[in-house]
Amino acid sequence: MPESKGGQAIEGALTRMDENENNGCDVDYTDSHSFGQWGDWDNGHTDSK
Amino acid sequence: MKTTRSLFLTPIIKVVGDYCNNRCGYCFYHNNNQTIDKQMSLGVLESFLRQHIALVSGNLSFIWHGGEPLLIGLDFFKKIVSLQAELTSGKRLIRNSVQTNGTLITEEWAEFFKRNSFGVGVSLDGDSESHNLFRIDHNGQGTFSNTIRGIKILQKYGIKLSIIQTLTQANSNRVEQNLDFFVDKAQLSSLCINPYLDIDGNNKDMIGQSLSNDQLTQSMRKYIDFWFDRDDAKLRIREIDACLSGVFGRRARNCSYNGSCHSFYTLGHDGSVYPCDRLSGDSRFCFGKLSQKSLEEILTERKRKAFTQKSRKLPNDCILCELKNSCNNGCTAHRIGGAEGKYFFCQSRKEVHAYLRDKTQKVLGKKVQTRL
Repeated sequence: MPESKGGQAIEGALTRMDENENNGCDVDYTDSHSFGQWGDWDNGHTDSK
Repeated sequence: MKTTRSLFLTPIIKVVGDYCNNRCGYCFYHNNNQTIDKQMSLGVLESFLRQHIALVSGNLSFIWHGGEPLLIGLDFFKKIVSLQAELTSGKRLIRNSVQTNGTLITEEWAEFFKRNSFGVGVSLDGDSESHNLFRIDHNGQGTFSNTIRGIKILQKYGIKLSIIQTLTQANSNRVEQNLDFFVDKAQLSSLCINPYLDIDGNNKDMIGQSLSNDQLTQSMRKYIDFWFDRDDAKLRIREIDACLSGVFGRRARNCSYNGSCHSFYTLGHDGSVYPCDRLSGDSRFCFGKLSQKSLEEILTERKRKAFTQKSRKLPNDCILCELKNSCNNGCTAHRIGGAEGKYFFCQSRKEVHAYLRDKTQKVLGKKVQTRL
């Protein structure tokens, strides 16, 4: 049987991952704030790596 | 000038160097004289902005950092946004972030941050008992009440906040109390956890406060249990999101998980360029100075390339590790023996990943399909 608590938290994290990937912005600096969501960033940028 | 097509070249700008109104025990700059007033000149600011904006295409991201960046004053920050608008002709999306200790926040600062869409991160170690252990002012007094006052002003203006908590041995024993405080009392929903590690053992005021792998694992299990128990989609604990990205075979955002040192550079108040603030101030890591070379030269020359190669080269056991793509040998500044060394918290990262993976599988009722 699945455990009952945690599903919403996981869904929230997965949503943040999707939004970050869709927005083409997926790097946070560890010693600065980060929100996990940059919804106002647009697409179309290229990571030079 | 050649344009570098990279969204992820983000500068961390230390507008006042290591100058700070706090005297936190674990600060990277604790052994410096942080009372010396250092300020970036408008000339350095304009030269940097002009070169960076010309060098990087697309959207722009700036992290204003310290020391305590608010010490430079609101007029300087107004100059920043006016120069950014002028140099981009208002045609590029600019995202400014500031990392502050929160003690100098006023209504005027909050109004400015709100009007200019600044993201604001505040350093807060927990409730007063945890925060005041090491986050003290020059007189040795705890800064909790001033930090909370600043946070409340930011919240009044509807500014979305994120907290960075430094985890030491002392507050690692109070994880549950501090999480209750963050979420229930302070109404904070975005938390980042930075484990304290004095890798060189140079900080005599923090002896015994670096976390061991076991201590970090035990603490992270408590964060994970809390996160599952609250089961709130809007509650974000950065390190859990990062680890969960690995569980699902996806790329974590955090630079200490995704091997992205090369996506950042730090600009000192005097125009010196370093990899990141954890490595700034050490001449071995100085890539150059704006008064001597162009930003493009500094960022493309051999010294920075050599650092990038070292920071990205994985030890043999990392190459064989199932977490290779979701860990990348951790933070470069937390490697034993320098940039080419082994991530200190390797063991803990594996243990936390396994714990989170198993809990996630129990909740979903199936094996998580990863792309590791």
